[in-house]
Amino acid sequence: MDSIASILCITREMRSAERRAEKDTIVDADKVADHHVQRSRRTPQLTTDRTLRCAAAQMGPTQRHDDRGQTLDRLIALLEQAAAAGARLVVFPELALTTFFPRWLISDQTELDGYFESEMPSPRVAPLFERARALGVGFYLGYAERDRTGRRYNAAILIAPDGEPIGRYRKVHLPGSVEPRPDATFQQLEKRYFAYGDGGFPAFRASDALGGAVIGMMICNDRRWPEAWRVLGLQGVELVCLGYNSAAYDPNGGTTETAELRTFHSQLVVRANAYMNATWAIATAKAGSEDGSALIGGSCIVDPNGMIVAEARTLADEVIVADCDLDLCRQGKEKMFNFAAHRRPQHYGPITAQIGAMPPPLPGTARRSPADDAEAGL
Amino acid sequence: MSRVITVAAAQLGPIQRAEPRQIAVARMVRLMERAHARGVQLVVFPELALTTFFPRHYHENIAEADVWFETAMPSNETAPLFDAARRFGIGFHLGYAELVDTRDDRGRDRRRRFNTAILVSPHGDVMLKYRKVHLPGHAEFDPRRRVQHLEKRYFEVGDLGFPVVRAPMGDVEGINMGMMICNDRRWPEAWRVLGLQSVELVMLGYNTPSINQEAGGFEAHHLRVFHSHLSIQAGCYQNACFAVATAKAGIEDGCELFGHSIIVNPQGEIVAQATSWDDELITADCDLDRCTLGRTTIFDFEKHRQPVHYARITAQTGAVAPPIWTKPGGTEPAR
Repeated sequence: MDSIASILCITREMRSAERRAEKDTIVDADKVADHHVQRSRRTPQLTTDRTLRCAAAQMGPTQRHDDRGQTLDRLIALLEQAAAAGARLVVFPELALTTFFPRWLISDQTELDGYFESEMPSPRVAPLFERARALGVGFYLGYAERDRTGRRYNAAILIAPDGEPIGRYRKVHLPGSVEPRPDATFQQLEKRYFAYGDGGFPAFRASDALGGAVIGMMICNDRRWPEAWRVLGLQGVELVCLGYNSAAYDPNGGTTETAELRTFHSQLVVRANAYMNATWAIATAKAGSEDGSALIGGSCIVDPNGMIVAEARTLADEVIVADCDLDLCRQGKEKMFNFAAHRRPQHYGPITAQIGAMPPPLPGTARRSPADDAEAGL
Repeated sequence: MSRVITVAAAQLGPIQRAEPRQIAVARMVRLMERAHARGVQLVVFPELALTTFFPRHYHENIAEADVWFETAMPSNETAPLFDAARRFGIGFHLGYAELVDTRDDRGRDRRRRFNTAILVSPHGDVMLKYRKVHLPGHAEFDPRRRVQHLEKRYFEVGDLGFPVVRAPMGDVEGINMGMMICNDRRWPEAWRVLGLQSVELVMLGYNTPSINQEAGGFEAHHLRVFHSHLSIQAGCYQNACFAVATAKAGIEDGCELFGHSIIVNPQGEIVAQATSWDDELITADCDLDRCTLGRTTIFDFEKHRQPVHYARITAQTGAVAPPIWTKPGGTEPAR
């Protein structure tokens, strides 16, 4: 039994009329194509001045030997599609410019260096930035970053509709391992290729062009960590942008997890943490069979109630859009999740005081004293 | 050795204001009999399982509310529960309002009140006590509300943190068991503090209205149940544990409480769910070794957590918004 799925069905029915209308907009926009982008952008469908039409630009797979220029063309095509549908902010996946290269143990330094950008935009990414500025669309882009000192990060950048950077983020929760797992067909070597992000989880206040939204960023595995969401929530975040490349099987070698379960987990954590922090979230996949390794799709736009308001249907390049009313965050932030009124940090000590789990003592190994009993309220 | 335990959520229908404790206890003993017949080894009863959800009623003099509290556990009225546990060899979790008379540091008498839950062994021993930390609602009468929610009036914030005990239960030698109460389930901090003690089974009871009673707030009916399930499913997945979440349900003192009690596995999947708003038993076999996958891979805290970046979680209580956006190079806030 999956209540989320069943309730989702109800909601889908409830929203179907609305979504059909939205889909029509997209289909029309597709038909009119590039040279009519400006026309459809002249008819904004804003209900209030804090409603922001956002897009998740899901990507199909990018193979290891794909031409970088062709991949950038795909990104630009998705950007234009989103702009034609009236989006003012587009969220691309994690490591959107290349294959998910941490699945390979790469000994050729030249090949490895080729996956990294030492400036952003680099000349080979600049056309995307130029097109976005021309269309007046902001975007989130995940990429592999090499900084001036040579340190490497799994990074994302947030660009305003006028082309100015709003913020940068370097992935904190790197999964996988430093050393390759023997006998594994596909590795997960993020801990080998990237340094841990050093900037925490900053939230940024965007300009009026993006509704003055408080925006935060995450990358992939971060979304499974409620600590990351809460640090953003404690900055009043209203919109979380995140991209991911997530295996459609247990990447640690287990055989019990299916693509369906993995997609469920991905959406579960985005929905629950959006709800518990009263924020919108846009989660964008790179999906499909990449280098022979299966990635889940399931890109979605989630409202502050944890409801999916738009969801990708394919494992290919696909744009989904939704109107995100930022003021919908207020109900949660002012009531159920009014942090100032209801949080009790004096009882959260272990969250920052320890890293790993410390199980309670085995039965019989720790004799309780009367003082311990009193302490425990017994 | 197998680490399977059979657990039950023993959902209760409403307990009206006039219903004496003996009746509620008798209903719970019947549920324990049915649990025993089904081979259950641990039963989870709801929050404030002995009385109506009294924080919806305003008493100007707080002492008048003392009738809703227990001064001893077990008491004459609750002893049949402990007897049934011993008779059937079943452990149980019980939520109740706890009143403690104590002395403060200066030797003055002090009466303390908590929203409490206990875990009782099959031998009738109290193994673990928890006092609710995340009290929702308000402390003063709110004339704008149709129904009051006065938990912050009648209870102190719990002072025991989120404890986990490792103890034998059923056929399993040692299970890491922890507790929450109602609104705690919406707070990922509570789940994580339990997760950081390697909790394998979380027990929680709730009394949750199916309509948001807060003046000025609108929440679609179906979202209330969804939010409850969503929080528990994510809490279990993100901490690789089982949970038994038990409602008091139905129309109590004219107020509608939703049911939908659930048992959830470490993948965040619902494995059993109540379908009535009445006394109802749902059961599941929980193989505790299924917690291992998550905690040795994706949620191996030691390998993957980054507390250096979590400082705000313990350093601040409320939200602090980032500064107003300014145009790069400019000094004036953007208008």
